[in-house]
Amino acid sequence: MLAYLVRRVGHAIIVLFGVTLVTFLLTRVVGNPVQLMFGQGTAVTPQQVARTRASLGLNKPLVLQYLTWAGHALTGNLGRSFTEPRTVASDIASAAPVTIELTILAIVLAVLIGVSVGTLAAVRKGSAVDTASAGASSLALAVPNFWLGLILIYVIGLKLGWLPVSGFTPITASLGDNLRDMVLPVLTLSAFYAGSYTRYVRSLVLAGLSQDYVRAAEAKGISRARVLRHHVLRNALIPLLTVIGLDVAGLMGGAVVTEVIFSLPGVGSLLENAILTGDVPTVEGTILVIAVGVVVLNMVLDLLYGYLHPQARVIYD
Amino acid sequence: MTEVSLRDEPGLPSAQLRETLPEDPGRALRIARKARNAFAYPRLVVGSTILVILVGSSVLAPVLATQSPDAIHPLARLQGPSARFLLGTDALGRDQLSRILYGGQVTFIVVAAAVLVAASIGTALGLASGYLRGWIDTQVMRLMDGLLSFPSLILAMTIAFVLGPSVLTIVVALSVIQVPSFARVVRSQALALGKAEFVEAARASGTSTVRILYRHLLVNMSDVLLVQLSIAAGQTILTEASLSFLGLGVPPPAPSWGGMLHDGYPYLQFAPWASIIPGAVIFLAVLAFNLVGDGLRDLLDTNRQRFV
Repeated sequence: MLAYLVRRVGHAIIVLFGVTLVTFLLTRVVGNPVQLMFGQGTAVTPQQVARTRASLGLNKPLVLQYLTWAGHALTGNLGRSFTEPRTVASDIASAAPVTIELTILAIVLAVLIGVSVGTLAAVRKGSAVDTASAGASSLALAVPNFWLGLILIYVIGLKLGWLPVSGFTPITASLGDNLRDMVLPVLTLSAFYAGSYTRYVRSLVLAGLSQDYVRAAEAKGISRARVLRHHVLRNALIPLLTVIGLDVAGLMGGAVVTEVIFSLPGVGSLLENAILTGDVPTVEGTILVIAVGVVVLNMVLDLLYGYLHPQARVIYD
Repeated sequence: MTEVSLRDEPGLPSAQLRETLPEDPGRALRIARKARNAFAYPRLVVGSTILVILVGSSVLAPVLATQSPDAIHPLARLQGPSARFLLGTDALGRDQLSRILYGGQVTFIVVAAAVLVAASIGTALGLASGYLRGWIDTQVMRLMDGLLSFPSLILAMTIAFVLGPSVLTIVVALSVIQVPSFARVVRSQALALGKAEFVEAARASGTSTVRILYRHLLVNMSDVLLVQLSIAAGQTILTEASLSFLGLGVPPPAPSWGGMLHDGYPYLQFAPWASIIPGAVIFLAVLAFNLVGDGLRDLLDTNRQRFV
């Protein structure tokens, strides 16, 4: 396990280096930060460009720029926003809890639905429940989250008036109000994953039910429910963990769209605003923080998986 | 393939040998049989039917559209569905049906271009990685891992941001994020096929690497690639629409489904059709590609017992 831990952390560090490099190259080399800052298509005089480049340190060699930027990022200094009188780090720090809450609630809901519906569908294979759950998961996998959000807002928020359609109460102000504001966004974000986990758990449980040890347990007279809980699900949940790990990145993308639809002040809304206003440091900072978060979370889940399932302690197959 | 070259070999007792060789029913017949089998796969049939309708109506947009997609009717803004405007009008009074039809052209062209570019690059990288192995494999997979650490939508947003709004930008952004999945799928196939006996035989008989990659690896993984193409197309439609929804899609005035939804969203309370109808079309398109992908996988799984 120790060797695996060292190799996995080493691998994560290499990927993190790649992530900083990609972020830096994208915004500084592929894009033209000065033009982005003034807005695409705006006429800028060469003198203005030269002055801005000098003041932002963009006339220095690229390697030096990268090292300065990465060094600052390592110490938590992500620069200052071009459009707001704040540091990027403080903006991200105040937005991050919203995104973290949204994604955790969404993944928990998706796992709960996936495990319960998937298990039921597998146990009653071929029944109406199975067919209905297969149909529902196909729909859930195809429904664009922005469209689902729109329909939820229209039907539940505007027509029925049951829940607020936008706005956000911080968890510190009122837990009840906070959760009420989170219901629709969480439903929107979790639908795809609920569909995906339902399918996956169904196939895992089906595979599990045909195992010899399950037949042995049943032959001993252990009840179906106990066999499911102790023999089938316990083994099925380990691979599910890997799939959740692979979904972390996609979940962050979905969170951007969800936050924009429901005007939640999370990291996704921050990124969207920064992109629309040409705020390069905030764009750089948010995508860096998101990518680092994804890499670290993946590493943690991989280590957990390796701990639970020693055969999986391989980095490349 | 090998049968053909055997028969052409001079000096073989061809008459007897040919009788022992399995009869090739011919390409057309094989395809016809597969097509007949396809009806045993309802998801494939439903998915491809929706696709044919969506693509067909976009191609026929000039014939089917009752209005110009850009014609502005200032007196008929945000109207509900009516005889004149079958699917209502948007905030500028443009006919929604016509915009959806023409928007389909934009969407399908952008998606097809992005998926084909991603498939070509991803397949080349995957073949090199899985067949040649060694340092190429390590470097390519490290690069793919790096790309995959970025949530694909966020990477696409960033690329769209730095390159500025244009159709080419969208194609680049959408294809970059699909490269890793093609590379991974092709690599795992190439790893497995590279160990197959017929590949070893080809190598032993001095077949060039390029020819092995094409004739033996690529041709034999074409079914898996087809499934991946279909999955990628569904995801790309979704990402394209998400980018448009976030205001980073195909720049106006070109109609695009995601863009229509984006423009109609502020009027949700008074004119729900302006955003819900374009969204429904996006949903149908994604569903269709997913169904085709699932159906194809089911269909090909039965033929796939040969190697594994």
